[in-house]
Amino acid sequence: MLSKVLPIPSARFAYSCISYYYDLTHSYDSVIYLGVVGEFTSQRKRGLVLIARRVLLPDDEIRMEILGAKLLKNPFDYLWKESLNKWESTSAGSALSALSAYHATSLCFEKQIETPVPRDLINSNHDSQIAQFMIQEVTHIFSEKTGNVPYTREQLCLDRAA
Amino acid sequence: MSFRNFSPELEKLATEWAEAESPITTDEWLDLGVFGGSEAKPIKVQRVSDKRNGIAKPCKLDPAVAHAAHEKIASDLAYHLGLPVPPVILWDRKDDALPQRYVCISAWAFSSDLHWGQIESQFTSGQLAQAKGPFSAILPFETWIYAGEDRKAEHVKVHINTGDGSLQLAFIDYAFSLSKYWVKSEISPVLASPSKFLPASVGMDNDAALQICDKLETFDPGLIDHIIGRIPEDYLTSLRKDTIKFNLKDRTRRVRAMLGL
Repeated sequence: MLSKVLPIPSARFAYSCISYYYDLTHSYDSVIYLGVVGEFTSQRKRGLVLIARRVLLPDDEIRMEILGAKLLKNPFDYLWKESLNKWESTSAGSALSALSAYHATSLCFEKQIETPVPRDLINSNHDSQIAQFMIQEVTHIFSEKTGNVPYTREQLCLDRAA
Repeated sequence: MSFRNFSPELEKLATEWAEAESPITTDEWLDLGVFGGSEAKPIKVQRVSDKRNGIAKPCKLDPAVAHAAHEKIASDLAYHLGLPVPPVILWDRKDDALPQRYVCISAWAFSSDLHWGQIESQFTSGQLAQAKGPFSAILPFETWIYAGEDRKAEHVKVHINTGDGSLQLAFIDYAFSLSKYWVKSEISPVLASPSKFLPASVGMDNDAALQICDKLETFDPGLIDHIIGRIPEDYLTSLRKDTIKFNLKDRTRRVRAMLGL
């Protein structure tokens, strides 16, 4: 007898660190960490979160040279615009790949890494719980990378899964 | 006239790599792991002797495409035409266990490397005017080698010269060109004019494009034979070499018409 097979609900959270390499010709260690972007996808929800620096420090502006410093004068504003744009124009779970493909050299969205999603969020409809999880994750990852960098900002958007 | 505006250090490297007896590097390079998160998975490399960085690109992502050979040939041809394509050298990693043994290394053109699409809206009218020559000059070249991949803003690297403040451009990624599309030595009108990338904010400089057409029409066929012929069989089969040689020589006099110049 055939029984109906139901898919097990699943959810995925992946993040990508955002770096700026300012001396590619001579050092891959010359990096300024700008932020962390994360993407949440479940059968009910999809979300995007970003934590990033709001301003560049004077030393960073010098290291980035003219064009980099101009582009990232307000890192958060630029990175949020870029991330949201890719998130809105790609299918669920594909935004980070699109960002990594487009920003692949000095401004670099690094390889995405998945972290486990708490069981109670897998099938959740509660925006506030999902949002809290996403912000906690990226904040933790960014502070691990950079220590306590002042002048950061985070933003998030959540939508129903298509 | 050269459209290259690279640093003296990079030009020195370009000469070294374009004119070396062998197209394969004899230097020792360190593999520093995958760079960034893109699907192409390029590898960070560093030359042991002088700590110069490069980026190694796998050549066997698609076995039907001679990725590394195409990159090397395009870079060498551009060097001789005075076009701003960064230097490339082949690298045999000498380990059959590696998924990509036969790769190429491309030198970073600039210390801080952004692409046209990221920065276009920030340029001044003066900087856009400086971009007109190189963008127009690269069109005949990309038509000649049949850079058939969808050329776009990501393929144009930009930098401001910290010395004189001039705009510097570098055109990259020619893996999908040449024998990727030329399966046999035939010219088809369909293949005559691949997609081109010329930003509306820049516009066309016919004189710059015509300069390259003139250079192509007098390009030494012996140099084509030399540049293609020295690529080892592991990177490019003899059949593909013959096809590339035939088409490049045949197309030198056709590019002007292909571009309607």
